[in-house]
Amino acid sequence: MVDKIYKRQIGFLLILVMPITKVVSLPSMLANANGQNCYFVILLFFLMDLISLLAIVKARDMVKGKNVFEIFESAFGKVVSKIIILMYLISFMLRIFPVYFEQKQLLSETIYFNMQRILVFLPTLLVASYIAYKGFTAIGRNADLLFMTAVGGFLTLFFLAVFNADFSNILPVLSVNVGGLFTSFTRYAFYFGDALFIMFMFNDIKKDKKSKSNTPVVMGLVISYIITLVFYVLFIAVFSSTSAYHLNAVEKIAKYNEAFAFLGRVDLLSVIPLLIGSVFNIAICLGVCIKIFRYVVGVKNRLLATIIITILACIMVGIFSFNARAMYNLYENVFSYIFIVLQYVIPFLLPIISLKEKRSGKVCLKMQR
Amino acid sequence: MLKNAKVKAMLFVLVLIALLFTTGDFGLVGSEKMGIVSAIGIDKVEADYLVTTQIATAEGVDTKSGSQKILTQKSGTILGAINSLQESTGWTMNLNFLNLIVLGESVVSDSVYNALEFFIRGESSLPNVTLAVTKNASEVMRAETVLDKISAIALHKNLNAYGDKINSIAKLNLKDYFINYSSLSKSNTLPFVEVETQSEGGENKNSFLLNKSVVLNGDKSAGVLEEKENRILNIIEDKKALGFYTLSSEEHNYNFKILSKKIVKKIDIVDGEVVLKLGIDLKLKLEDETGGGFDKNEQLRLDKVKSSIESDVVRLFEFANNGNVDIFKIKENLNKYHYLKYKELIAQGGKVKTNLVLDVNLKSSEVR
Repeated sequence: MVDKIYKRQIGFLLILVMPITKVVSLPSMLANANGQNCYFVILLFFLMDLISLLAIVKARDMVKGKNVFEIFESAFGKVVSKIIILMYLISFMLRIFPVYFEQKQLLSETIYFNMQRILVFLPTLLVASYIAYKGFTAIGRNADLLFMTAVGGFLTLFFLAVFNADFSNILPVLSVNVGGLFTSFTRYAFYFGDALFIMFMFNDIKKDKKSKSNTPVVMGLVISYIITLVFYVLFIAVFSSTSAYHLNAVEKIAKYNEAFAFLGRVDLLSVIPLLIGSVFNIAICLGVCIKIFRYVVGVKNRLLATIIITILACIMVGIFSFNARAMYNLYENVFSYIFIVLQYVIPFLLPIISLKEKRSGKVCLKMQR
Repeated sequence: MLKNAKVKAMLFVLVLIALLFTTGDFGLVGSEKMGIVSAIGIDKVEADYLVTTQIATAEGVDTKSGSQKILTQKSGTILGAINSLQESTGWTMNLNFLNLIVLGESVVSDSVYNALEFFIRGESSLPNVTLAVTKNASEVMRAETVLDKISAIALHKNLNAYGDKINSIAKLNLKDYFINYSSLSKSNTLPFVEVETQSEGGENKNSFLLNKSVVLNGDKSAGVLEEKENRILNIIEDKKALGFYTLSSEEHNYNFKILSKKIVKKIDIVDGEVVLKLGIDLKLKLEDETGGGFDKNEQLRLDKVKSSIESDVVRLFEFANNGNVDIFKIKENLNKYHYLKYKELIAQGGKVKTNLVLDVNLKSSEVR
């Protein structure tokens, strides 16, 4: 019951949580690798995430009443399916560190200039794990309330940026380096695939009264990508060839416009919704981890599972934080490939795998009759 | 009872988290030992940079110098000099509020890029900082003007005012410097600050003169633009720049305010040659006129201004061609808007030789 969520809420949730990992340090890294054409990388990920999401919702529609664990089990057998599911648990756990790191960077450069790592992560993790414990129903309700703050925050940011933007900076479009785009795709895949959690919510998604189709979910992804894309175009339009130097894109864009400085910290209007989004992003990761952990280990007590997952996440982030640079190297050169398989390859194959489950379901139904 | 205890425990945790977020020092450097750097002057002395900083401190306001201090340090790098300042004073230098960087001529003749790189590459990259060039940056940092004991804040305001409203000098910030530097055109224009010293009752008083701009090709000086050429360059290249246009001759002195402008700048490659088409439409309002009586023939006045603007543009164009400096950003525009043609031109080994087609239209108005 605690994990029931409406499709509308999933759409709002994507708008709330998706941009945090894409608008802080990633823009400068992509600008460094792809120059003024870095927004093409976002377009590429958009395409992949959209196909992945469509495959996931299609698979869900094909095997109504079954969850992804059962689909994997009938397709690969108990042992292999548990290994795959365990890989997903690890991947969702690994997703927490980049979110935390982006959040820390945003906090330390906009609000607390010299903040200790643990003082950022501990409160965030406690709040996120409490939200995760309360389940996706609570996350969905929060998304209903909070997604407007994310939209408002970005509109403020765009308003601050547009006066300093020179859109000719995104030219020439034809100079795009296709090889560079694919290199970025393989390096930074762990920043994307935010809609993957839907794969583990097959039986928990409730139908909206107004819309019975999957449109709200798909629209959530499309809108969040439009926001991200506009952000990248504005970032390049404002900073052009110096974009690679601006490690905290949100803060730099917001502060570059001095015209509104007399009003005080207008930039916080865009920073705070992102920080809120980061807490919910971590909560989603923890929520999925709790779900998978309970399935794999067979723990019925939700609180116990939450505590174990929270402690594991805390230990992981603690260890990773000692040498964040080395960890990012590992993410970019090793983990990223695993993420590509888990968030694109397997979801793309999911409708095909589900086909078998669908057929066996029909056979069972006929036999029952 | 148990439920109540649970709620209380949850509330306690939430309050604790709120406290963690909102209280404590978090290892912040105490504000009493924080030096807020508002301006930096950079000179090159042999292989070292001489960095002169104006620093606002948290001490009580001193009647003589306000709460500002001037500190100097020498090092092979800018960061090295700032670190040395920190080591020698025990103060932490906060660059987040830096407004102005003044470069000495010695830096311009060496490498502007090397001197500025730290400010965009460093942790607190500072895109908004205003840039200026002078003969001796340390001297400008220390100059006491008629109204100010500490000059940099006033100078920063003046640079922005002259760059924006009066439009007589170049206006450049750190971000635009690096964008222009890394573009194909590689050209930048920086305002030049001159210090004029006058003796008043045995006391030396300084004033700043702002009527020249230094043109950089890459990171080296390619020449100096006088006020008139700079106005025209600003009108053509800066979308927002309006300001004034002055015309001085033996008979008449006119001072026009530019009310609005429409600049059409088209660059194309025709038969293997680059053509720059410049259309300048200005709406002017006569603000002041001296000498030879009031000239009532408005068309005559506008014709004089038109021929003056045309000769200014041609002079600028020749300056660019002779100095091989791309002040009209022709290469950058070709690359952006005619990417394939430009690549073809470069592949054929063609040098970007430009022809100018100029069309100036002026209108006069007594009201806005």
